[in-house]
Amino acid sequence: MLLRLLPLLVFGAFAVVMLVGLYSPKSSLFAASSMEGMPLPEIAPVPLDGLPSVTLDSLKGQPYLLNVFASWCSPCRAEHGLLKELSDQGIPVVGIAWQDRAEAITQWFAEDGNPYRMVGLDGDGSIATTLGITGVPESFVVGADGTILFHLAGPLDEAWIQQHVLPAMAGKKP
Amino acid sequence: MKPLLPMILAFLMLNQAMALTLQETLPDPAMEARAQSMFAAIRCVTCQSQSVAESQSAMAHGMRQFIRQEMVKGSSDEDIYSLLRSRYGDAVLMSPPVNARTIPLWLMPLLVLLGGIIAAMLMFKRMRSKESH
Repeated sequence: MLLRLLPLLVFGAFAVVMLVGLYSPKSSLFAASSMEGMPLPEIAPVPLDGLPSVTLDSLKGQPYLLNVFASWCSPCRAEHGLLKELSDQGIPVVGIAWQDRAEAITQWFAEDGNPYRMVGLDGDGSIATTLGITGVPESFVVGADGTILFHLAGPLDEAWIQQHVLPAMAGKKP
Repeated sequence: MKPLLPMILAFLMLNQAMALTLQETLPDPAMEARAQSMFAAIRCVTCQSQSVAESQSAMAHGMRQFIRQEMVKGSSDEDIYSLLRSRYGDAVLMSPPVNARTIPLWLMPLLVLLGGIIAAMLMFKRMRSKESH
């Protein structure tokens, strides 16, 4: 009896493993935290007219939040308010727009405000790979020495900010 | 028909222009060939089982540009593989390397095949013994 059921059992076990993998919240093959502990690579975003361009050298010696976003991305719009709150608290927030158009960004900022101390465009999409991202939004907490302390793939929330962003900005070691 | 001709020509020219923008190949043919062969070995990180050579997604386009830029900087193929693996792990390679972590992945098909052969042999043996009775 058991022998007859063996192929079915093997298939069932295989299907369960596949389904768990498929629907697991961490089903992505690509580790979102693989950049943590690495120095932030050099990036040169394209400046946007009328907005302060990204000069990371000017932030040397202080921690900051680097946020990759797009004006067409709903989760990016959802986290916009949190970014503005951080910016209002004096936390330097740097923005990199991915797969976006300058006009769409400036129009969005005109409507909802600009939380970024400096902002630029990932012109050819290669900055996304340089930073090891798999989509937008993604955020990096960068320490005063330029090391990536934390990497979040997905929208910011209060809990992540309390746990990772604020302590790092206060100069506390993770 | 006559008014259609300029429209067809304009469409063909636009297509050509878009293809040129999307390809953005390197001026050095040898380096571009190196890049193309690397594109086939790197997995697009937002696609289902597609290499960056096959995918038309924005992420794959960015990955191709990253590889080209690294080549222009003078990085070797190994350097570029290493940069991509440091960001996305071994999964970014179309053929994951054989190591302690991936060995079950490589052995699994053999084990399943072996299990199937043993099960089939046992079933045949049972059927034969039933027939002989």
